[in-house]
Amino acid sequence: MGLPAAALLTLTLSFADALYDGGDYGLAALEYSRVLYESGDTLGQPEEALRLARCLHALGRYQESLTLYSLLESRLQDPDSRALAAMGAGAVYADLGFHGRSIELYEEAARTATGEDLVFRAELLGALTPVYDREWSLAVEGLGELEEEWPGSRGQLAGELRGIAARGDRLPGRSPFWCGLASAILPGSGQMICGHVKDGLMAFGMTAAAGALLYAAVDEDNLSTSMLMGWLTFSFYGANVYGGARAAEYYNVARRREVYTQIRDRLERWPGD
Amino acid sequence: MRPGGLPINPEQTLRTKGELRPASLESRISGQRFFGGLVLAAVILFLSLSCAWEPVSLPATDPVPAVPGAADALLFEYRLLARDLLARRCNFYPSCSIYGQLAISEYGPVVGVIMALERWTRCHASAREQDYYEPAGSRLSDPVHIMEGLEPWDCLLLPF
Repeated sequence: MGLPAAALLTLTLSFADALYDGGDYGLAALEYSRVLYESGDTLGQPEEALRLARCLHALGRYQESLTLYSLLESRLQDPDSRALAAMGAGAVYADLGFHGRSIELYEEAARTATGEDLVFRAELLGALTPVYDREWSLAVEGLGELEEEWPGSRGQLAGELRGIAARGDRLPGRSPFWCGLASAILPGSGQMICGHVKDGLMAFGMTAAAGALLYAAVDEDNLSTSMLMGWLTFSFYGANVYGGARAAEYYNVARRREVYTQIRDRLERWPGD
Repeated sequence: MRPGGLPINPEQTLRTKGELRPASLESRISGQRFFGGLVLAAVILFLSLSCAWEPVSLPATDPVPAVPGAADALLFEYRLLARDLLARRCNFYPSCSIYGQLAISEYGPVVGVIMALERWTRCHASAREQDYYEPAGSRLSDPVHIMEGLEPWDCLLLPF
């Protein structure tokens, strides 16, 4: 004799929720699918369906996730649930790099939602999305508007995020062109300017070693060795110039990553603070 | 005795630069040059071996893109030496040889070889001390195209 169907469904649902809260999205997706299948009404259980879509997103099954979010967004009656589906789809598009579409969906969610908290979340996501494309000033502007519009902790959060985004606009940068040029003039110097001292020393050593071998081969009038060493020296010199430019790119990416981490950290502390 | 007054010495030889040097001196200079070249070659060999410093179990399972025959042969030899013969592993993911293959297949042999050599000069034992590489498992991530390493935060604000 087993459990009644309703009790079994409740048990499965709580198990799925526990898996979801624990971050085990693979198993949670399986359990939510089972719950929705057993209930026979996907639209009747919007929260479970939204969670299933988010699990699919987390598992990298973007197409399935978007399909489910779209279904929920178009068929659900409750405006807040529709807004949540639009926000979920926006998050998937953001992950895929379609930031324009993402902003459209967040704006739609903000228009559809009735709850204050949900409207703020959608607006905040829309204001933060330009950061992905390094459009710092646009993000600062949007977050500034939110700071003025929303009182209390929400406005404070928007203000803090605006400060972080403004820092992104003033990040110290290194030009790949100038660092490459510096390495062309003095091998390894471009890398050192970007703080990659050991890489710079290595580039200098390799270029100098190849150059010294080329000099020795030319001095010996050894044509074949000279050609070989000439090719090697040219290649190491080119590698050193490219290395200078690449070091600048790494430098810039590392600085931007600091800003992204700050934004993420701040969002993780909200609204629990 | 020559007409110029200098004694003819069988140990002397006429160089193209017009200098007269004793053969013993000549052989010593030649030996020094050879030794210098040997030292530089040893430096290059040392650097190439320092690229692969961590013993691992074989084989690696990196995907291998197709590149032109000569480059493929060179990279195969390199992999044979560094990975299979010395049973060592690169600091980076993708490994230097795979990176070379990716660069050559994408940018052609001239630029690709330059990019591969650039990576090779960065792949030294202290690469793991640098803070600008993202970790990729037990190795460091350094793809051909530098990635932002950006983890979207949108899901943090979804209240479900």
